[in-house]
Amino acid sequence: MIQLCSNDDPPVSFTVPRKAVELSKTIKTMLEDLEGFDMEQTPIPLPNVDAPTLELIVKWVEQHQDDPPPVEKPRVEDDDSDDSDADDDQEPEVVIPEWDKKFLPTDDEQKNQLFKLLNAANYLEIKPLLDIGCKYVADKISGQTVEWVRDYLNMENDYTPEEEAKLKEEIAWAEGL
Amino acid sequence: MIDDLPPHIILKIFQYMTVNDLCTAHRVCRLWNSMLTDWASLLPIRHLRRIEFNHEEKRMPRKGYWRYDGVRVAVMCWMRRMLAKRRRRVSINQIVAVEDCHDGSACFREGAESHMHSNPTDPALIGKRLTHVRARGVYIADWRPGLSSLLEQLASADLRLTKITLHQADMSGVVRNDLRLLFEKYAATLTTVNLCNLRGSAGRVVTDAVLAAAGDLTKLYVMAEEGRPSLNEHGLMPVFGFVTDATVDRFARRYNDTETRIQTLMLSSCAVTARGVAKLAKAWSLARAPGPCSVILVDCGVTKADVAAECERLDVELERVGPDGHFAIKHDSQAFKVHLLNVT
Repeated sequence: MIQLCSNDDPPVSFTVPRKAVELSKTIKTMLEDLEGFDMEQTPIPLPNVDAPTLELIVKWVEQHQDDPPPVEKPRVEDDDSDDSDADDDQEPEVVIPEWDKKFLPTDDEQKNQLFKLLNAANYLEIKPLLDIGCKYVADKISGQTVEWVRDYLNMENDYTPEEEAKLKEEIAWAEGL
Repeated sequence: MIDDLPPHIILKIFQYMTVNDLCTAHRVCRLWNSMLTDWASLLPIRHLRRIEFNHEEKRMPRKGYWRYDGVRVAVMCWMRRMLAKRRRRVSINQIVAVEDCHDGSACFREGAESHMHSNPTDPALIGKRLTHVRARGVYIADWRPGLSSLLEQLASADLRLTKITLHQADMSGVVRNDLRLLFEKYAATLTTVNLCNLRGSAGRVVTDAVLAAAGDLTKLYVMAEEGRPSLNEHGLMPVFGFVTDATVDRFARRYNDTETRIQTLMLSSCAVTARGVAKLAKAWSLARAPGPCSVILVDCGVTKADVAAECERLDVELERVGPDGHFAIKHDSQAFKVHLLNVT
């Protein structure tokens, strides 16, 4: 078991199975680097993650610790000799699993927590979690108006009315596609 | 908040969006607008493909398909990449867009896979339709097979074409000749030629365009396929270029012999070298009565220092003018300007 500490004062610590915590590439690398030390006794401080976020992360890695590792597809060089009927080299569609759908902090008042979670997943390099988080945000925004997106993401409209009108006109054709 | 997220996470979110949502995203704020524009080529093509599947008969952009700005460049990049993937069961195999440049209203487009396999569009029919709408511009993309007969139809139709756009075509043998005839037919009216991702003797087509359309042709845009974007560098790699030194050399040599008045030559992701640019500048400065000329190099991997050095070797005096740091030479009060965009 590995202990993780949040950045709160005093730090909140969580005990996580090593297998689960290794879903985080950052921690996995660190543990490998510190091979030989007794990491079971040494809590790992996470200066960028607060307790509520760390709790979510711990829940997620424990749930997903037995997932098969993602298959790393080798990048195919796109040369002209490649005339095969190979499939597109696009990334596969990300599907958010049912458990994760319930797990993600999806209520509107929790959206700050969602972004904190994304940031932590990024810092800890938990790619699958980052993927589903980003996919969730993209889906959430999908089909909404500009005003709704700004409101949801708490973003400031820094266009002048003229610029906004011009931009709207410019992309009007694309919206009709 | 979302502002705290590092840019690559925002990019990831964008990558899961559809084209329509990206259009919304452009309008959210300046930062997003500029991020989307910078990253246009990194965004996936699947969304556009889906759109093309579902909406075959929708409008074309009303204007300025090739302008380098915001959403258009984004869609253009998707389009280019998608067309480049044509071998891999991509939905669009042929698109013909016709723009009536008078008011932009008489646009129509034909496309989608079905035409290719079961119902190839009859070039004669297209000729008739073009005449009917008094088309001033044609946009031909990935038109195979039968490009040759389409070009013939266009050349024999009674039109006043001012703009020809050819995207993703094989320029070998007979097609190149048909295209040359087309240029000659519309020499008097043609003002803009866009050539994008041509294969075969594409470099010669550039020369043909310049030579045939002497006089009124003022804008010539040439683009090559961009390289596989590298996420790490957040940039593009110029590869697959087809405009070589030899092409520019020919272009330069004939500059003096013809009445060519090219005002804008844009080469994007082409394998052009600093020496080629310098030769062109030299040809221009030796011409009897050159008009103003702008050479815009986008993603060509040519640096200012290279161009300056090559110009020096050819005794072309480049002076630095303008706040954007482009180069220029002056001759009889006319200027030859070299703009380098996206140079690392």
